[in-house]
Amino acid sequence: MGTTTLLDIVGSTMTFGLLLLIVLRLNTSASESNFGYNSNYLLQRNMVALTVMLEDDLKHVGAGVYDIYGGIQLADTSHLIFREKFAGQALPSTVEWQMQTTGPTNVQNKRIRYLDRNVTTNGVTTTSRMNLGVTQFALQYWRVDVANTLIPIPSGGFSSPTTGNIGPISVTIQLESPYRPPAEYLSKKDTSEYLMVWRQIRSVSRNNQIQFPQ
Amino acid sequence: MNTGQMMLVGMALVLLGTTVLSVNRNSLNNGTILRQTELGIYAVSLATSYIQRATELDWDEKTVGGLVFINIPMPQPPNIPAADATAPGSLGRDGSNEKQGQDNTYDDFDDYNGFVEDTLISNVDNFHVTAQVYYVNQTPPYTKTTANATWQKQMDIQVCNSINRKVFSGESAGTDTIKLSYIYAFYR
Repeated sequence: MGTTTLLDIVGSTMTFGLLLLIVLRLNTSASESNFGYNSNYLLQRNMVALTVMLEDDLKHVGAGVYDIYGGIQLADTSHLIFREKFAGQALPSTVEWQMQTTGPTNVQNKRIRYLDRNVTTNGVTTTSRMNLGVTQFALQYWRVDVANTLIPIPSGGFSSPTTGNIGPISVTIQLESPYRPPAEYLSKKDTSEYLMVWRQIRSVSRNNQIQFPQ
Repeated sequence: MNTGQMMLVGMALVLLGTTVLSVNRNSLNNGTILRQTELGIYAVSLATSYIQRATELDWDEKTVGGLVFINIPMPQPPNIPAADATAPGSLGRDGSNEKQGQDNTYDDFDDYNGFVEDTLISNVDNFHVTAQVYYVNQTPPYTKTTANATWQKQMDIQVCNSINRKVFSGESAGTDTIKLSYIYAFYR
């Protein structure tokens, strides 16, 4: 082989190497983006599903319950029990939302907790345990008779005439992705944050709004 | 390499470059769409919160004092007396104690007419919130009426946020607007 041929081989090898580097970098970037986009999409979908359920429930607090003090039985920072009568049912059901202190163990993000929705109808309880990536489920309760005034929590027995008065309920929800992108797909050394979607709801049930505060 | 080979290499590089840029553009498009929908969730959240807050208030300044005993049968539009409902042209804040952009000073639903506020959600975006309240007819299609008061008021709330859509249309920034409406009927 002559010098020219050797130079051709070296040149073409270098060119091929450069092209290979470009393609590999593109592949890394695409994988990282794809992971992020899919995680974000799942979080958004979970948030929509959760808030649709929650808002529907909160709007029906005390529906069909003939209690002048509203239908809330227990109100805590991440725990709510109330009564409502579902369409087509003869008797009111008890609905409970509670963020658990435990979560899935086989995920990287250890902040994630289960969220339970228990419905008790005619003494039969149906539990729906949700693993939607919830890391915050904070409830706040506002007085029905005094504008912009919070009710101290935790407190129970809200159906009694002396401790009623819950009107609007604020809910802050934060969802986080269960996994970080694998380190080999990360172009930068950023392993600090999981993807997050946040939402706040402020809801008031008509039935709770027309109770007679004590 | 001869000229033909050089041309082939050049063409290959152009093809590769086009592919890389195309993949990059698609990826950015996906990201922008997801960001847009995420901002939509925040905007809907804000709008529903304002609506809920408004519906906690009394229906009208004339009903703030408590339950109103209205003659039975209730007067129907267009004969609702001025003592029972605010005139269509006067919907909005009442008195100097109700301040623009401070809805914690409001005491009835139509105080939100002309409401403007900028809300910053940290690490997300700045949202521009505006609201209008007006009377609507009590029969379908519930269109706006300015001639007289009715027993139904509608709130239109708009939440705008800015988003960079450079990858879509070449413009550096655009505005997305979420518009929600709610009809509040007098019921107590």
